[in-house]
Amino acid sequence: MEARLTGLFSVGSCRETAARLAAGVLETGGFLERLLLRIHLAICPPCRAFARQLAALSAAARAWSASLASPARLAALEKKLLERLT
Amino acid sequence: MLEPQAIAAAVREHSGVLFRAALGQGFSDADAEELVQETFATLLSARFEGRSTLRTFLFGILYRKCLERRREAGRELAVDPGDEVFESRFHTGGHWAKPPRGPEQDADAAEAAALISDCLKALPPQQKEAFRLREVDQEESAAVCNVLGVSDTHLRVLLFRARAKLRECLEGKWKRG
Repeated sequence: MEARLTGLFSVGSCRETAARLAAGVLETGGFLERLLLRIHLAICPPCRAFARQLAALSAAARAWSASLASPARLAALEKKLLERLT
Repeated sequence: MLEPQAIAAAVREHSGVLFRAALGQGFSDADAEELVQETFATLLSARFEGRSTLRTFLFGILYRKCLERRREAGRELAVDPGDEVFESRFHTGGHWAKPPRGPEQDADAAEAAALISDCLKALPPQQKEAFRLREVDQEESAAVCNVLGVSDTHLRVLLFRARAKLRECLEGKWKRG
């Protein structure tokens, strides 16, 4: 499915939308760029699914990072660094 | 030069995120500890002028130390094999050829961490660090550009490639799950 509003302006193809979402335009793009993305998302279920996947990716990355070192390991590291550096 | 008290405060506040960042770059526990210690040792003699936050400044030192240790320039390929995979999801007109699928339900944190771990290992270091700084440490784009020494446009390319590959990799796991 390609979301496209005929007439005044184009809200871009699904390929363009997915590429912009992955590049982070929704967070860092200009006002018009973000608006066009939001309009496309509002009328395009597959691109909304793509955006949901990116959000799941983000949550998974945060969980992964937290799993790399336990709070006890971080506390031990902090103690050691304070002894060595100060 | 920072006062000893300021160094101690910086260690308390930032050693954990730096350690996880070094582990996230694939270094062993011992190497990651050494890299974090070297980062703070550099801070002792560095001139921190407050143009960025202290955390961003430390991420910059750590990132350069990781590159030195790995002896990689962190160069980005002009054409990335992942770009073709992304393109293959669409028809020539830009419609979805293979629409996104999954996840059917939100995974719990431990499960999600395990799923993404292998996918992250396959990413080139610079893409991985761009993604990690943005998504995990939630650094502003300008700060990430500063740490990695790349332009805003280049950062968008790095993030696009990282997210496109990770999404593709995870989608395979979601479908099997």
